[in-house]
Amino acid sequence: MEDEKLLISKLKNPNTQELAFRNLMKLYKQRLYWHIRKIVLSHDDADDVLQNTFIKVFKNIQKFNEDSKLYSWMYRIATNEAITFINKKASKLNVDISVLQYEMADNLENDENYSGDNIQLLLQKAIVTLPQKQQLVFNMKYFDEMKYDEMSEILETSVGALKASYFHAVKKIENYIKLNLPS
Amino acid sequence: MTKEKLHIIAPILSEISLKKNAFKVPENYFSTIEDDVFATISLENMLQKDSTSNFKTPTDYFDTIEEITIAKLKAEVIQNKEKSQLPDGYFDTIEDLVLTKIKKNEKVISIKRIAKYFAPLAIAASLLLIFVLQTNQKTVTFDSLATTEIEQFIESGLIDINIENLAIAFSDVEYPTKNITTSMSDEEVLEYLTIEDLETIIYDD
Repeated sequence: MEDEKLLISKLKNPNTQELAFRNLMKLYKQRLYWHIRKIVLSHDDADDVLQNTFIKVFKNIQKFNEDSKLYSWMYRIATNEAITFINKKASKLNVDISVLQYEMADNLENDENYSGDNIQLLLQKAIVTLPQKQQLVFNMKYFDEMKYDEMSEILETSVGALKASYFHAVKKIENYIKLNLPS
Repeated sequence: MTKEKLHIIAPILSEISLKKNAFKVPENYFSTIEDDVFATISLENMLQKDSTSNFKTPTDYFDTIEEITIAKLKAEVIQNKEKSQLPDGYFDTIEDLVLTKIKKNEKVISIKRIAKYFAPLAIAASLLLIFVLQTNQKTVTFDSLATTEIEQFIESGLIDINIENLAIAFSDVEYPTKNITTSMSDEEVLEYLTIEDLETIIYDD
């Protein structure tokens, strides 16, 4: 906590800002990247969104009012940036977001930055059948192994609701994979 | 949900969670992120500074620019309009043109309005010009010119006719229509107008 307060004060001070910001990026870049990557799927898109996220954090650090943890705030920005990114993409292509996400999952097979097997591909296709918020809950719990308290702060949803959401997501995905597994 | 519980509720998902991460990252990607981000921030700051820094404008410039531009455009339109009403060199030849008002009795072919006025006026103006050049002491009027002399001047190429000037100068000339006996179709008129020899146009019967 003390360390975080100190970091925040350095981030807000123009004299120490750059170095503090470099340290912040070093600390959180990988966690944020993988969270973003699970949403946008492509590495290049994840790279764009990650950079946009950090730039937004840099530009808005003075507005950070320290009601939540710094990481939760950054994670929320990353989530919004990723979702906005794919929504814009769907809008440009004039398709529904669910259609775009299915296409994105389907294209993973040909992605040089993806090395999953058939069952892992099926998992990605199963995830995109969920409502958007439930996708986030599933990714944050299943892949990122995030604690419900932290998830609650980021998604601004109660722990109970998050637990219920994750439980249902797991059941739906399991059924989807079973139904679509090659015999 | 614990891993044990996950294994009970969703065995396939439990099995997948043990596999390695299917998403790959290019080599050394994470080592360049900080520099990339700062490069973008610096560029944005630079672009923002340039747009407002060293160049100044007069006070209220942007409030009045539209009105100034419209006034200038209007002035240009008026100026161009005035210019276009006067043919080139008009004031240089006006004296000659005024002296060459014609009474014409020769028969000519009824053609389109432009040809109707141009042919006799062209002859008249050209002849006067020639006489003025040749004899400074003599006062020339068209009444004193013989038809044969007119022909000679045309044939010798001494006539340089600016038809547009003549049309404008003599726009109020009433052309006698009583001798016009022949009507022509548009195709015939066009064919007629392509004939370059002015004499043929005038004296064609």
